[in-house]
Amino acid sequence: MPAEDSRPAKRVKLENEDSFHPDLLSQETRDKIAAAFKVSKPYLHCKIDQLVNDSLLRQVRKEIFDNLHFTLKETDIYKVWQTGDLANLDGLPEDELAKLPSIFKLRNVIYSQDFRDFVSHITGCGPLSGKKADMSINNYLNGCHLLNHDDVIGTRRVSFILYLTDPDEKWDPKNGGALELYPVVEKGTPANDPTLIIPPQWNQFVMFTVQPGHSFHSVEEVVPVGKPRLSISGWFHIPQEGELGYQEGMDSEGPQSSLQQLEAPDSSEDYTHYAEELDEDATEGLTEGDLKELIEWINPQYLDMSILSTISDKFVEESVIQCKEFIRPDLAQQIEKATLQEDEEEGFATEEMVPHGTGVGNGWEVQGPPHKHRYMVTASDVQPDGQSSASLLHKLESFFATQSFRRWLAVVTQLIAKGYRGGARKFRPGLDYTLATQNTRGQAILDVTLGLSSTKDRQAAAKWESDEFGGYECYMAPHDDEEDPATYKAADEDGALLTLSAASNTLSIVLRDEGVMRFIKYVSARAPGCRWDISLEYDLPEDAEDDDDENEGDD
Amino acid sequence: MAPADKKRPRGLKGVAAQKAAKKSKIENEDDKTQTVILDKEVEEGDELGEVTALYESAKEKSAMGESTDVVLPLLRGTIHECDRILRNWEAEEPIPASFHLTYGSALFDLGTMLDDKELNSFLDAAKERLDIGFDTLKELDTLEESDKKTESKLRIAMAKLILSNAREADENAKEVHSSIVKGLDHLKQAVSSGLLSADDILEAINIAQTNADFQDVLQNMQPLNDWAQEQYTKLLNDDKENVVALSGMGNCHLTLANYWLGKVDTLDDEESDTKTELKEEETKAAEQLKKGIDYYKRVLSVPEIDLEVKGDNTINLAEALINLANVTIDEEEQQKKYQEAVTLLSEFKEQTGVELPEELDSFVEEWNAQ
Repeated sequence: MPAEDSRPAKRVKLENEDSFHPDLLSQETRDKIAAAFKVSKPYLHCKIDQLVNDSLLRQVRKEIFDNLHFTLKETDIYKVWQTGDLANLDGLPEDELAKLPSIFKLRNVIYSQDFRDFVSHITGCGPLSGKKADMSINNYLNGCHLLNHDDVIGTRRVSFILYLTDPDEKWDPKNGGALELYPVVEKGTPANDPTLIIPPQWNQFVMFTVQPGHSFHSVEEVVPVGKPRLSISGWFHIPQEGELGYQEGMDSEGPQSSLQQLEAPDSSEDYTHYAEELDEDATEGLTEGDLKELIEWINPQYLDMSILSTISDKFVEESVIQCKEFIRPDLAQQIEKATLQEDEEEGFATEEMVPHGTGVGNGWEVQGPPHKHRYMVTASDVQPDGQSSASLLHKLESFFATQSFRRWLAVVTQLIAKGYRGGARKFRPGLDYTLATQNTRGQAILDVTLGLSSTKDRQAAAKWESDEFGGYECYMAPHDDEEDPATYKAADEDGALLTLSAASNTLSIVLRDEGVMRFIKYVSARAPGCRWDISLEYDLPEDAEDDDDENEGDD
Repeated sequence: MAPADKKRPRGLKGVAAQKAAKKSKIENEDDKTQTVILDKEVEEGDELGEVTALYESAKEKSAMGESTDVVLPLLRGTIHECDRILRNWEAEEPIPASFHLTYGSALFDLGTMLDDKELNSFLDAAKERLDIGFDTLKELDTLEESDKKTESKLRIAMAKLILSNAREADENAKEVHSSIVKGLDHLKQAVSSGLLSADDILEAINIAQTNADFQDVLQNMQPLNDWAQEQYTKLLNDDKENVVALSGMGNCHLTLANYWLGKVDTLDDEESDTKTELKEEETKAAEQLKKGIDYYKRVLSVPEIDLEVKGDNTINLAEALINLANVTIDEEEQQKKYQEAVTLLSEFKEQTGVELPEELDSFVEEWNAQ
């Protein structure tokens, strides 16, 4: 009879082992995944092809579609259909919970001690909370997307996504919906384009450690109708009070999230200042010299004092004005021809996802970083007198910096600009956007944007007007400080002050007061083409705020 | 313009905040603003139609017995809308007489629902409005049928107002009689126009009868009561089961009976222990009570009358029976009538669960306790 100590150790069956793919939690598998994790690029992550027991996951998918209600949520940074937080499952009435046994089981399995140990072993991130379950079900339908961010919010430690795409139809990468991971140029600044693209697949599990300034990622837009990209995503949090590994004060500290980083203060030094001073009487009218210059590019009707007076009255009342057919027709036509042609040549009018990097060249280069914005600007070496879109817009852009335009603005807005910044931009479908930034200048800023998004027909124009394909400029009231930055506003909450659709040859002037946020909504891959514009911000004198306060009692 | 006077733009947020503040101010100032869903069809933009429909709604709810909490806001709303229409009326042609009818009627109805001390000012305003309505019709070269109908309705409204004034005046004043004559004349002209609906005719007759009941002087009461009887009789000739006419006839007799009972000198009764004969007034009262009882019983025998009609007529019948018992010499007959009243009231209460008026309830309780 063998001695007791020579018998092989009894293998301990792990909690919920049957719920996972066979052998997932074995030591061999753990070590293999951990090794791959350590060398993963562009930052630490892992991809597991088959995480969960296939039958269980199929049950989960069925329960989701049979019983759960999705709400569309849309902000500057995402558009996604979401259910409620699965952490709140325990609070559901018994009869409702009885309809979701597999979802309930899956949640418990993911936050089980054994799986958390598995995750800790692979990522080396230390103990994880079993108390703070934080996961939700997301369905990315056509047009849905999630733009660049680093997930650094609150006490998140490990992000994960479990994909529940159609188990019987392999996901085609052309559909979009890929997880895109970005390297950093320096800590806190992601590169303009991702270097790793992971299309979703049934039962695939991806996770990465939430690293401030490093773990930048996005979810590519799902393009076609009828291909839902269903997933369960969530976070493992650091241990909470009463749990092993809890450290007091850790939940209140934390680096600034990428969201918070976007709100650095603005100052007059960030603007190019006019060399000359301008008197207050510039608001009264234009000089001969002004008219001579302006008529070179502005539609003559906008040089007629009676029309300018009417426009000015409206602007003073509403703080926003739009001037259609703003630039001269012959110039507008030139730009229209060049931009439509370029959209065609670069494949931006095909309603399909284009690869990152499309559109670079021809005088355009990408302006990042993508956790704030991504769009194209004219390159420094653009040909000044060419017929390309870059040349034409670069030239047009220069008119907005002239003294004559400054005086025109003074007449219309009754405000004297003392500096400016900005220029021509091109927002590519499927790629470009700006995220909401707040006016932190300490006073109002004058936004002047010339929309140059031409369309080949009425149907295309209607697409822009619908705002369903992005490309619109949105001004939002400032959010309350009490709001959890991880909480996004639902699509139907009334926070928008103003929405301006992408338009052709239309000048918009907006006085954006302190705290007001604005963004250009991500342009969908199915948009009629690029959003083209020339966008400038004009800095105002420091005492403009006092004048506004005096006038508040006038009504 | 000097720079200090120049208006500057406020900024998007400032404009939005100001608009929100203005909206909030309007909402706060007009807390009683209510959206009323009119159950009548009115063409969009037809302000006059809408205000008429609003008043009709108030009138219907009042007739259905809805509380003042429900009716008052509708009447106030009618007046508010009428004021607004008047202020903004820019058309060359004058506002139609029907508008003044609505306005005046609403003023009158509101006045009668509020405190007594406010009544006179409302009545004055209502009269002014109705007078303008009549003047407007006089200005017309020709009167269409609709104008004549409006004129008849104006007469009814004016009659209501004049007769209401007569109620408030000192009963011995000469003015009371002339007001009654004037009011009655309006009602007669309105009904004889032949343009009123059956409901409007009934309203006119009921006005006469109700106001007759308020009068203690025969020469003031009788013209109204007699005319009402005459009109109810005409209606019954067309339809002998016309419940409103039957009730109205019962009320006419009850009014006369109450008049005669009011004339009975009760001091005489105290001088004698047993009563052997009825006084003249008692006899006359008994005569009217019997006739009234007969009509109320006819109402209650009409199949499928609604609960309100049943209730009103049950109570009137019971009161009439009790009053008749009070002027019945024969004790056995007297007791029979009391018993009949008690049985009637008890059965009604049991079948419907409706609470009886306090004095009748007490009467039934005391009787049953014997």
